[in-house]
Amino acid sequence: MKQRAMNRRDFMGLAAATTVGTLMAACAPPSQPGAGGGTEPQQMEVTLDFWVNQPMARSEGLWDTLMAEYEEKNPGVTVASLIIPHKDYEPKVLTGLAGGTVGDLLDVHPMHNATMAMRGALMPLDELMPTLGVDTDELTKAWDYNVWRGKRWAIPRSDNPTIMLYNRQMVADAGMPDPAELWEEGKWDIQAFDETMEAVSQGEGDERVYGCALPGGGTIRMQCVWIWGNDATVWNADETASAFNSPKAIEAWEYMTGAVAKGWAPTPAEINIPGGWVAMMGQSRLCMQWPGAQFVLGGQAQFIPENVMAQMHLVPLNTLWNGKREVRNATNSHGIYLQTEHVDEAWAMCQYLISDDAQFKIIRERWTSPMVKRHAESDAWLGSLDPNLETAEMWEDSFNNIRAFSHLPRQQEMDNLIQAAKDRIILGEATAQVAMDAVAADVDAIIAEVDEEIQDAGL
Amino acid sequence: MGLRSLAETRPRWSRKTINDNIAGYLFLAPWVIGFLVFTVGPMLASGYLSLTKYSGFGSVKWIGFENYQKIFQDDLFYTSLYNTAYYAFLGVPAQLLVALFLAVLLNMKVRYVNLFRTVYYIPTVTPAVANVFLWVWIFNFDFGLINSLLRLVGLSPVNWLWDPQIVKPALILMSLWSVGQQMVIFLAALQGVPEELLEAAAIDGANNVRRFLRITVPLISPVIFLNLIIGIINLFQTFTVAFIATNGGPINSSLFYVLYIYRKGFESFAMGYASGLAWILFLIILVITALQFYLSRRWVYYESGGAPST
Repeated sequence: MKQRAMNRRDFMGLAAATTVGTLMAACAPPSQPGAGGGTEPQQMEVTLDFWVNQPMARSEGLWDTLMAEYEEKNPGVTVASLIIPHKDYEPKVLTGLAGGTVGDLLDVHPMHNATMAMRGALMPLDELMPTLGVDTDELTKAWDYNVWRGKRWAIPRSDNPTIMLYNRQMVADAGMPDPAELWEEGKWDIQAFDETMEAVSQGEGDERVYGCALPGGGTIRMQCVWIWGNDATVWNADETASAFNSPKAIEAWEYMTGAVAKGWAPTPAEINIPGGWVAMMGQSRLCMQWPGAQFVLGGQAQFIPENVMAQMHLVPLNTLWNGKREVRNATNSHGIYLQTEHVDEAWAMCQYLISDDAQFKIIRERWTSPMVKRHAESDAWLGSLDPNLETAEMWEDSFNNIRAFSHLPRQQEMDNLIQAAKDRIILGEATAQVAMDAVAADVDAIIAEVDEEIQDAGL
Repeated sequence: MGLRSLAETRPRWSRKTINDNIAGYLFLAPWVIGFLVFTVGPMLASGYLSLTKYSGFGSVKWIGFENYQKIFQDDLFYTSLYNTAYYAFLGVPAQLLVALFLAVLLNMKVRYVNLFRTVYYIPTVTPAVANVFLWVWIFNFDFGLINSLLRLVGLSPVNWLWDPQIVKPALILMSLWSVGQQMVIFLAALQGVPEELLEAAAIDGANNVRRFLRITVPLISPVIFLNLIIGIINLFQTFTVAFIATNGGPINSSLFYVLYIYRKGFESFAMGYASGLAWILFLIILVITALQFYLSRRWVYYESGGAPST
């Protein structure tokens, strides 16, 4: 066959044809599933986009199993999960929302609940609740977090009441009584906690060991526990202003920042390593921490070497200055996008994920504590407890002392401001009162702006 | 000269020239369209948004220059601007010196020089996030490499990322890890320095330092200028390092300007305010760049005798 070189005219023509063809293909409507003209019966195919906050799908194997089972129970529905890192989750969802492209189902961390509701990301679920398959009288306090402005915005699928994880060997090596034994004797109070932190915190360089990380780090949704424990509150009664600079709250801040200044707790810089405090526990450089135990046991434990994990034990939080055990709780929940075209399928997912089938799977993987009373008495739950680590009594004690923190919209912004104020106290640049008075004014300004936005949103 | 005579003297384009021009514009079109749609368009939109109250949701409310008034009363605006200026004005000279030093070393005729060049360039192709995590480990107070070395020689460890006075210099030190880009540009320029000039100077008795300062540096001054411009622009837009290593702390001492824009834009969803911040940054960089071009006439040497076009 005779060949000739491509001239410029040919090239231009080919380029133009390719460009036009590509544009036409890109602009063409998506092909309809099942529209191939075969003899199969026509069935409505739906793809349900599920935007998942990464820590809520810690066990990818479990997540895939759950989604596959949902698909099996709901023929014609395919779930497309988009797993997003926690730190990026809220900006990603809100940016997607502004652009009109978000999932049909959206994960809702407690700190995102009010913000997402206010911005119009979530559909109120109250009218659907009677069909959820869970009687309201069976619900534990796990369910409080998703109610904001009198409406329910999401359904929890896993729960994390705080309970303390600690290295039993490190405590013993420091010559201190075992916290779990102290708890059984009713002596696990703030004084015992302080003494343990002080005794454990020692060493220098590679040998440096800290007592407990939380008092020095984190966010107001964690710090609230210490404030409550001194009979103070974070917000005023109607949540129109901050109250975390009251004299009693200031004492709590002085305690939290003092723990860092004394070297009982690491600074935010020291804990900001890949893996954070979990990695520090794995290196036996941190003795105690009070996350939701599920956070560790259901996924993060893989970052703790087996020999260190074998030394771990659980104990309910110590009582605080007011003599109460204040337990912070966090649910991992999911809501339905307000504008979704697949409400039925999304609601079926909500029903499925709280069903016994799904919940027992999640419980067995140590990914949640029970959120429905009958689950707390189930073999799945009781069988999942590790006798060397915990008892059902410990959990009951924790459940009974849960107190829900009210997450206002724009929580992250408030946390950034409060963190800077806390830095000032730790570094001795201001007293707790001065630092918190200054930041309270800024937080109040945000609350006032939020109030306007809430009015605009008609909530 | 009248219009008629102008038209008469204008060269008449042949069909081939016209076709060539069309082809040229067609090839340019993707970039031009992309530039208009994805750069100029958003810039104009953000300019408009900076004069509005807009959260990214719902309606846009015109408020004139209110955002700018608020910005100039915002303490964090000044804090972030100061942090960024500190970082850029100390970081860029440090980067240039290190990059030039490495380029000079890698320009030597030694064995395995290509291997060394590759090794020194690797940090530049490593993802920025991985680099930051690496340095977070190196700077760790308790077990970080630097503090371990300090302890080894009997010096007190430094709280690199927790001391407000130290954190910015520490981040500048971190930025020196990724000077490969500037290093390669310097290396290319060094290889373009005529050998005969250096040899002539050597014959005249000039030592290495003198030859470097009197011949090499002037000849590569356009490239130093290029790296200076790019460096200032890049460091004024620093984000990743503060976002990951310090989250702006402690006490906002590493809250860089673009991190502050991000927080306002994508945490507070104050898009109008964030747009205002972005425009101020644009103007600052524009003024600094213009100033650099103006000052460059005094120290940048062009063999052709020309100067960079402003």
